[in-house]
Amino acid sequence: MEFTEEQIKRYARHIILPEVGGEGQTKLLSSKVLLIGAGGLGAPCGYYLGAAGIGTLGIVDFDTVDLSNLQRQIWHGTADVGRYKVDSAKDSIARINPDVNVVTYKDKISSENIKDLIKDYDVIIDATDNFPTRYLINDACYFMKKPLVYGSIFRFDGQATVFLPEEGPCYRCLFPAPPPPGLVPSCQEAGVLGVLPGVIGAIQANEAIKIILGVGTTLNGRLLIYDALDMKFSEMKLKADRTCPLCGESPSVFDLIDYEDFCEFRRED
Amino acid sequence: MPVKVRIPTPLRSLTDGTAEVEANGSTIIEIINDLEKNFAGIKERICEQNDQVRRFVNVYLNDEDIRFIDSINSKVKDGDTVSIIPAIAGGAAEKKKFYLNYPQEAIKEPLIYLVGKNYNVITNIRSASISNDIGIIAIEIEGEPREIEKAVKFLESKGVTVEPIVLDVVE
Repeated sequence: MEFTEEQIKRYARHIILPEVGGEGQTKLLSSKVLLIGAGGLGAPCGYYLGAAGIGTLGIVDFDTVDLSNLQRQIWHGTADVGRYKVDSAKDSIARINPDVNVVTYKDKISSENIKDLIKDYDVIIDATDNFPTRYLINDACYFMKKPLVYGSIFRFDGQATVFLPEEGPCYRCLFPAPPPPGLVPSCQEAGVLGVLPGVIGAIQANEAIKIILGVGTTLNGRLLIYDALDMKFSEMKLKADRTCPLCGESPSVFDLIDYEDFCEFRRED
Repeated sequence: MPVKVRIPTPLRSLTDGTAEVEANGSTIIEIINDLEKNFAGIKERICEQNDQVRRFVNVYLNDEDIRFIDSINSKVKDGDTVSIIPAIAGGAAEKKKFYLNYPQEAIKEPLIYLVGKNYNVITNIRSASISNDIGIIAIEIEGEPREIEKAVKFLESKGVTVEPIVLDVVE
């Protein structure tokens, strides 16, 4: 790939790094990353991926911008309230970097469409906000052998890691099944510090870029725990679980599961 | 033998906001039982009734998942750090306002009660006009977007017309 004058200037601080160089920047410009969720985690993550010159950035989100999102979802502005998040996100990236081909999906992700959504992408980023979608993404990425960059936040706590299906572990090795609805913290306890997804989302962008470049050591096999209130980062070992229902020795999950449906059955009986 | 226990933010309501507490015991389960003595209610958030750690919570001894050591019987020693790491998914609560227009046959059903009971949302009636024939309620529903959506679907399944209140006319 020949860089234009403008690209050489734009990516100069990347190209000058021996770990990136012209070759690495070319890899970024020809890479395809799918960002699932255009909210708190998606915004900082997508911003950095766009600025870094990811060639194709897919963004999936069915939701529209609400005023209460703006405290943390930094790529939407006040004037975007009511617009689709993916449209607002696309405009924000276009302002930073016209090199990026942003592909938007206003779909609600489900077992029906997820394989089609992820199949053409090199790296998948889980920037969602609920358990059913996280399990769906994990399982689909395992079945389709896609690297998955995981990030999650709640109140003041953040978690991040990288799941590589070829090497393990997967999200189900970490947490085999989603919590039953009654046991997730109630919304009175919910809420999130606005900066927290900024920290975790930026870490996700960092890991995605490293996977594409093939440099450094990713978080694969390590669970990064961030406590924003105490300002502590800690790291836990994350091992492939032989009893994992998805990638273990005698798996029990062979198909994609829409957990939400399960919950609705439980709730309406 | 005192060990340090890291408490995740969702459980800090039980430890008076403290992030790191001390506990005594020679195994993980003894540590958890000791925590329960000082912070009543914490054990059921971590363990099933048979004492095993819940599937959506992990307990780490230093940086090692106890499932890969000896689970709740893993031995701890002075100076160890135990971390409790729950599965978190994100999701910030939202408040949305709706007009509910009841069909006559649904007026006598306790639908708002059922919404609060079956879904993880808080309901707040802001104004209402109810007679034997008509029922119009302006309601605020607070919760995670998905929960609100489910609550709305439930109401619609009962024949209620649910219209978002776009302008803030209720306040």
